[in-house]
Amino acid sequence: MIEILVPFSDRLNLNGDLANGLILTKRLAWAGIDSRIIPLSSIDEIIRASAKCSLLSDNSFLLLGHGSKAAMESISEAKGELVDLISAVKSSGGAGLVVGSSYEWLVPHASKERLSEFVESDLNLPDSKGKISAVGYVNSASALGNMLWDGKILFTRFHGPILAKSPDLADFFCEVLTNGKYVAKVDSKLVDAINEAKAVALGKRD
Amino acid sequence: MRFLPALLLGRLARFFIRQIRKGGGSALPGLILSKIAPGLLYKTLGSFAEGLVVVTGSAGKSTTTKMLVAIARAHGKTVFTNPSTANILQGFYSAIIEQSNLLGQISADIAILEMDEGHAAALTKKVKPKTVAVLNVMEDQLDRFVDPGLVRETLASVAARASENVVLNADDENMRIIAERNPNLIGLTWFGVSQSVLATQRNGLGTAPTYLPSIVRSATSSEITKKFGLVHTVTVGGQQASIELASRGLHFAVDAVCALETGRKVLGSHFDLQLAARTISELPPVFARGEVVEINGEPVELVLVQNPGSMQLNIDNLTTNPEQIMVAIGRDVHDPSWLWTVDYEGLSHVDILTGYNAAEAAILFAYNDIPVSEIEYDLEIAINKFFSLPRPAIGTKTVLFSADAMRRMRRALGFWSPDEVQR
Repeated sequence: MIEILVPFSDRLNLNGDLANGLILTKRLAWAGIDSRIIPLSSIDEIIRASAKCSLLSDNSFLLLGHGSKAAMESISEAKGELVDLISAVKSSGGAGLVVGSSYEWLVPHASKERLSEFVESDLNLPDSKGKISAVGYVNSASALGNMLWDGKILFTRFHGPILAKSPDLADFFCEVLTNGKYVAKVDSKLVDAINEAKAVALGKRD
Repeated sequence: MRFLPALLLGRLARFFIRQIRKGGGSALPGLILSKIAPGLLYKTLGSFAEGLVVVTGSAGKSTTTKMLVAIARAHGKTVFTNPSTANILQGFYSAIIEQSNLLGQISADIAILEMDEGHAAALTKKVKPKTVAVLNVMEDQLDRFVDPGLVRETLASVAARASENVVLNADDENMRIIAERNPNLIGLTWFGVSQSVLATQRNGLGTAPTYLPSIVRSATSSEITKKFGLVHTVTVGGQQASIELASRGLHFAVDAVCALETGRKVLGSHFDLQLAARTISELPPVFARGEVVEINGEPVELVLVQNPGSMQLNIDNLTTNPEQIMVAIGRDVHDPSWLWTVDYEGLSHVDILTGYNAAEAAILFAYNDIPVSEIEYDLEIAINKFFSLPRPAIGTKTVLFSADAMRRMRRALGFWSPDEVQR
């Protein structure tokens, strides 16, 4: 079964980042594919998950959410193990999302500028899988940019449930996790709501 | 005399706006006055013989302030205060337009104001409050404040400016950090909820976690010790009383005990607990804070949700599992990401979903398996549809709405009288 690994899920959910895991499990389930969310709440569990990645027949997904300053300080001892987990997921063919403060924490940024807005970004997918757009909320900008791929792991400054309004990105991850077997099966009412929510977020509605 | 032209202009603006839009006309005149007479606010707030009381924190400010104002008035005080949610600088200027004479003078013994966290920090730099009551720090308005730790620091700076009394919530770890890191807070006392009562709340009080070793809870001067539905037993300054609240939900009881403790400190030896308890028990709820109103001849429960904490607490308190629910998420929710942090297990379904951010909520409910019968993006049409539904067989129609949706709905339903707006 596909595993969605979520380190420190109780701490790295400041803007609803965990919802990205929910969105993936639901989209996979609607396509008839089982997956489960595995919270990792200690260094030992992170080490075990790293070791297990290469042994699983299915690909894994890593979701590292956005936390408050206090939350990031509270997990600082686990930084090395989290870097190892990212490597393990990447080398085993999996995918992932590293969001907001976790991105800043793992890839230190400079010259941040305060923002508070929804942004639409063009995003080139890995392995020449084409270009999609993603919509998310940013609280600051930096020279490093909003998106950075490391293999199929996306580091993003878009905090919160980025996959909610970026269904093409969600479906790309589902395809990676199923080695291309995933065929999206999403209710048309949800598709309409996503399009409307994107329009509202990007200021295209009065 | 120097504020006379500015006040005249503000009143004229209010008059003309109210001709155009019933129930409106409070924000813009305040904004105008703040631009042309910025010194008026500080002069006015510094003029009250018994000083300025600031009620602040992430959630519960409106309810607590209304309770505290009622307690002070029951004790014979005349009070200058601001309408519910008009808790930023322009709201204070609007309150001056509303309540002052043309010289900017207000006949009141004391000012008791609810203040937004950021605006409280700015204002108390210029006017020193006598008393500061801080309710809590929640993971709220992160599009504005970015991090709850910054909110805590802001509130600590406000508390440190109190000249006589600081009142803090003993059940919020953030408050304990404020006290520990600011050992010179003047006249510090605590309010809270007994552990046995707190244990009945499935998701706690929703305060922002600190991820630090817990600081020992300070002894409280005022505490909720028992809860039976709407009836609560409180101990205040060593005395006991019973209060019956107009709205269910432990968060309202927290507001009440904060108001009682702050009232005890502000009124000193004049404070009469039985009078204060009676006053709180007779208060109607602040508009839309769990209030039941009559619309089209049937009772409707109105529930305001402003942040993850209030959404969670109110959903957890939907004890009757309402048969008919409308959810309206308005334009005030700039970054709707926080909607995704809430556990929606207590929400069985939604009949009508509306508001500027209805589409975001529709995505959220779809992924959380909460059935939505209809999405209607036009709020007024949604209101008409919802209130045209046949009366529910059990319980009351229930509306969960954000502040912007609440204001629009209030106007659409005709709740625009001064009394409604003041509440």
